[in-house]
Amino acid sequence: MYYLTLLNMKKLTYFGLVILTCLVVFNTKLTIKNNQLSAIALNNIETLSYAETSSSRCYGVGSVDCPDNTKTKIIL
Amino acid sequence: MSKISMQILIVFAIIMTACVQTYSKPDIFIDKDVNLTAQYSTSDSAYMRYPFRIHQKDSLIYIIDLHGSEFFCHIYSYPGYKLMGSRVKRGNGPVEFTDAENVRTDSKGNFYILDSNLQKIAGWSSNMRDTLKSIRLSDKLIRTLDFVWLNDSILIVPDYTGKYRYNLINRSGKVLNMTQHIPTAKKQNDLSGIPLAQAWRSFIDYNPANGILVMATQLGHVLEIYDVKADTIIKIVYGKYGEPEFNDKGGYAVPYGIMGYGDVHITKNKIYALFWGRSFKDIRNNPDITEGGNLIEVYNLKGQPIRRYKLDKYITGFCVDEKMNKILALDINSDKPIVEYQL
Repeated sequence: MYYLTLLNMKKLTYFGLVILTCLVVFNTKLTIKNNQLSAIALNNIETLSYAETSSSRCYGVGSVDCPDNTKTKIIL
Repeated sequence: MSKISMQILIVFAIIMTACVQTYSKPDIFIDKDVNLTAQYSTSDSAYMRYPFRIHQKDSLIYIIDLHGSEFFCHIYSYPGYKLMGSRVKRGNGPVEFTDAENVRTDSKGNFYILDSNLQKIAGWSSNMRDTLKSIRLSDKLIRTLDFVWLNDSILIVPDYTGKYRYNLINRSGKVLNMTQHIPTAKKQNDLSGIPLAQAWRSFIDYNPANGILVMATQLGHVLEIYDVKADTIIKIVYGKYGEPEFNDKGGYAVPYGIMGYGDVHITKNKIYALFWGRSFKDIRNNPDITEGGNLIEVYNLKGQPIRRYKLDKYITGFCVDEKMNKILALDINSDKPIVEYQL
């Protein structure tokens, strides 16, 4: 009876660890998805300067210093 | 459940919690909010695409349009708000400008504009007719994004190298001193110098009456207060959202945290800092989101919070008229951008 209880506890523990791992992975993927700008949003942005360097793009009219030395709303 | 299993579960719970971004610093302005309602000025209209800076000197107001299509600077009478003229013509000619970061005046009432792309500070007399000798900034500074007069001979500018915090330069543009350090808790190395300085890009102000320099981060929630004469730190105030967050992409800092402070001013007894507090995540998801901030944090000269003004408009820049006890601000979302708040 004791060994049955121990076995059930072990199963419960491993099951809990699997659930936690899945939640961590899901949360990470959700964060990455939220960081991508949709094509529709891009089309709706008024662009004063569009600067593309090897690794970043600037969108919108704002006060953030862009790599091409213009001022932008956001750098991606 | 065995002890080992319990320990493993606790470790995973901690890892899970760490994956969720939280801001652990408290809001130091809780219970200190004061609502303010704008009064619009009946100003002449000069079309401004992005009114960004407003500076009052005696009976004149200088406004910088950061994205001016023809002129970057418009000058108005104060308090009548009659348009007196526009200066700082946009262009690539020898007397034209590609950028205007800020406007400052000296004790004689002359006004000066910083072009960070051309690395020069140009000046005009208070009657707007005479141009003064330009200050060509040293290449050692790399890129200068703000400036303020320490006295009529020396300027203070934020450091862009990442190795220091601010620099003193003379009227010839020569660097006299580079001092203090970026107050980051993160590890620094030589490769991350300029990106670190970019992420910590700060708006500055100085008051010769108390000798205090204040710096407020654009991309984080940090306010720094320095005694320039003694070259010491008075206080570093880390706000609720913490220091600037960024990724180094090819040697350039790409921010991913928040738009923090938008402007800062220091009067004889107080520090006023305009705070936006909008996350880049929100801006990405809603590109039409309003520019500007509606919170002005007020501190004493030791960095202790006094109150926080909650404005009914979103502004990009402001100045404080100590005599009349009012704030003059720029409502970027209005056709008549100049507004007043009575304190």
